[in-house]
Amino acid sequence: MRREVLMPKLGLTMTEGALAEWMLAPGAAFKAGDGLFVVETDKVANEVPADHDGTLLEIVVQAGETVEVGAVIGYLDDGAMAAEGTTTCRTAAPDVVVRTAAASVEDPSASLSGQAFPAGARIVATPLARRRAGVLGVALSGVAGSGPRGRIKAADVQAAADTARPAASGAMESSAGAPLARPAAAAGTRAKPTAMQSTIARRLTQAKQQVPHFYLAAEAEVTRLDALRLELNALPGYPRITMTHLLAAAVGRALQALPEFNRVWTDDAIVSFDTCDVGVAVNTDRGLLVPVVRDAGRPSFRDLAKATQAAVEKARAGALTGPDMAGGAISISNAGMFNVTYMTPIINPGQSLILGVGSVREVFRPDAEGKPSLRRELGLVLAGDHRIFDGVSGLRFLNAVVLGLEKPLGLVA
Amino acid sequence: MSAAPYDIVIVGGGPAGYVAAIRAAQLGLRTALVEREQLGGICLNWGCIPTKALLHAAEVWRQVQHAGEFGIRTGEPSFDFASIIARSRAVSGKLTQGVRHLMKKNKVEVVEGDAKLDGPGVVTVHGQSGGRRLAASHIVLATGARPRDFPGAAADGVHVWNYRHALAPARLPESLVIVGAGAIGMEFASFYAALGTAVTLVEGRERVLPSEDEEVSAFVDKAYRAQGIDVRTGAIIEGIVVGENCVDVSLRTPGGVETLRAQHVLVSIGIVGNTEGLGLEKTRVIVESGHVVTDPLGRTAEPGIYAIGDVAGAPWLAHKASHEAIACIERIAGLEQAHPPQIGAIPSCTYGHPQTASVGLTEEAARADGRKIRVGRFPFQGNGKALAIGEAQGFAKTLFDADSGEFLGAHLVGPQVTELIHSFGLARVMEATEAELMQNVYPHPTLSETLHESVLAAFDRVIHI
Repeated sequence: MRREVLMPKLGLTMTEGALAEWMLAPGAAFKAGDGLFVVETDKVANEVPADHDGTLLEIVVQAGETVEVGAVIGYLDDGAMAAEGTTTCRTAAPDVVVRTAAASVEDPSASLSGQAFPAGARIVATPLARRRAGVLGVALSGVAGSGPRGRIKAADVQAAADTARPAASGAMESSAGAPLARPAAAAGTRAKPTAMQSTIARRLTQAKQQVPHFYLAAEAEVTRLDALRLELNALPGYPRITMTHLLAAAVGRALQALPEFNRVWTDDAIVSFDTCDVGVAVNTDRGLLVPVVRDAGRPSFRDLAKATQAAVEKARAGALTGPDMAGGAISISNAGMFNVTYMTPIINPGQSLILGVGSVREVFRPDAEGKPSLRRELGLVLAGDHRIFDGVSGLRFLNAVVLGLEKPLGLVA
Repeated sequence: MSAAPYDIVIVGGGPAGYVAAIRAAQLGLRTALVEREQLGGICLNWGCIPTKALLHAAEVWRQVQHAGEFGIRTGEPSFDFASIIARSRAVSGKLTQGVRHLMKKNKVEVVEGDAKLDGPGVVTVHGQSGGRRLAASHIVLATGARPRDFPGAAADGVHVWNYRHALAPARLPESLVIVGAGAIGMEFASFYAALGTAVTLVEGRERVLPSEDEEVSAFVDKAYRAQGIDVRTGAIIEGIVVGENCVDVSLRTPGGVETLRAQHVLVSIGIVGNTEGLGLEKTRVIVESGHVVTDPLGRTAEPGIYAIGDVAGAPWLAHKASHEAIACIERIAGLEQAHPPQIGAIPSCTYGHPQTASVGLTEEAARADGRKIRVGRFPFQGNGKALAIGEAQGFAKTLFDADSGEFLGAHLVGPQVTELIHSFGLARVMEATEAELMQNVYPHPTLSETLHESVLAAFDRVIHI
């Protein structure tokens, strides 16, 4: 039966979506779970899978176009017989669960022809084809395979390299007469970014250019926090506690106490959130992902630590779905493990605050009597959206976080 | 005459035709197969299979004669030539029956008789039981090929033989001149020499098995001579004259002209496609130098008419024919998976003593291609299993592109090599490089370890030499 394919709503604040890519051509059959198309939201590229077997009939919205949530983007045949009296029915319910496109990390070599494989699909290529691709600097994701089931063969790689080359050096070839293998100017090796890389780049550029950032820096003295962490980790049966867990608690508690910071700016409204959700940036082999820990202000510290750890592990496993990364006004970006004093972050698109966290430094500071005293300090930088907050208000929030970290019993109480 | 609408009518029931019929039936196409003689074609009846039966008998005979080397005592061994021939025929008969069962099982209608194209989409068949008119959307020609006669001395089955006569003679010839040292000539030379016939092998080109790698040709040449076969290469046949009870074959060599007298001459100078009598002249089908011109998927210049197997040209190999058949049928059925066999990945085997097997480029061809190559060789003398079974003659040779590591070809001569070549065929199909072939684990102790060592040798990493 012919059914409409709709632009899904992938997050609370999502009103429109950019159709990044159709993963099938009209006429192609698919099975439940196969990816149909890729939608870019303000978070990331999301692969939208089919919820049943069927055939793609028609594409209405082409890749590259942006349409409202709920708009018809194509038609499919679900293989079922139409019940009498019904007209078309719809697929891709507004709150469809999607999986994040697992943008494969290709070697950063040049790519050439059109996207032959959807981002994340396993690329099947012969050993020789892989080797030739490395030598010729061809990204296999851009090569159409001529072998059985689309397997990429060495000749396909060569053809891709051959078609790309004249485009790069055509002008010189015609003037010089002799074919040139590469342009004379050292242009470096060109690579086509994956859908995920493109999305991240575009959204970050947008955030940095369109959101007026302001920054506030402060140090938190974390001797007691460290001691508490060690004590908790020594407790039998207690989950292993990391600095990130304590930071999530400090931010969640601060939001709970100061709900006016749990807000984001959109073009037509200021949106206030009901729960204190906190994003946690996780560095994965597929890029930076930001799962959101729900209601970080309320639960016991033990439960919060578990929830945070679960989110981090889900991100590392590549199992995050769109809703896992949606919502929240603030994120934490903890670079403490990388030996950096201050980290000045970019606000995660769709949010209004982000806390950049550096490494713990041991420093001497004058005490009340002017004598040097050893302190363990954590460098914090809060970036805020100036459309909704200002330096004075932002400082109240940052101080609340600092206080939470310096008097950590409040976090676990 | 009756008309029956078929999706596909296949003309010829050899390894191209009957495989095409089965594949078509699997895909749900209404299929008829026309055969004028025996199902299974030359391969099953007068080629691959019966010759293997004969050569195996020769092998058993050789083993019995050498039984003492293994500590086995026998009485004075002897053989019965008529029984050897009879067994070979029986094996063919059994397989022909098998193909008939396959046709039945797959509900392919077998029509016996001579087929002729009769206008677009129509084949008429004239057989013993009268005439039939078969209408079909697609007609696949798989009519095979027949031995090429020597000009002026057509095969008579008495003194001048082709392979059919050599497969079922009444008695073992005392002397035999074989013209042509390709696969057919070599195998019959090996068979008859093993049983005691005085064999002279004449080849116009400079070496036996001219399409194999030069080193393989040289090794086989030496091995055949050691078995008492009189090998004459670079010898042009001037004439074949049939006498009273003998045949005279005159040769011209750089050394002069010579006449060989023998009981029989076996002419194995190639084959020619069966393109006549099919009514092709009324179609747009192009016939060139004895075969139908097609694209890689068997399409001829006439829409709706296809040709596969030997009638569509070289290489004349049953396994190529069957692969072409499947690709052609799948193309007709509109399957996207239809892939013709890759010429560079079709193994070529000969089953004389010693056996040869090869796939891909010869060293000569690789160099002529302007490639920088790496060559690895390993002798069966260095292989434990070969020594254990007392057959350590021969070698494996492998070729790689020096720049890309692409596996280009393999050339084997020695024990059971025809059973060993397939992994190199797979390597070609999968576009393997030296890395995968080195990584592959070859079981010990097997003859196949020789293949591994030759790959290692190409990269100066050989272990057991």
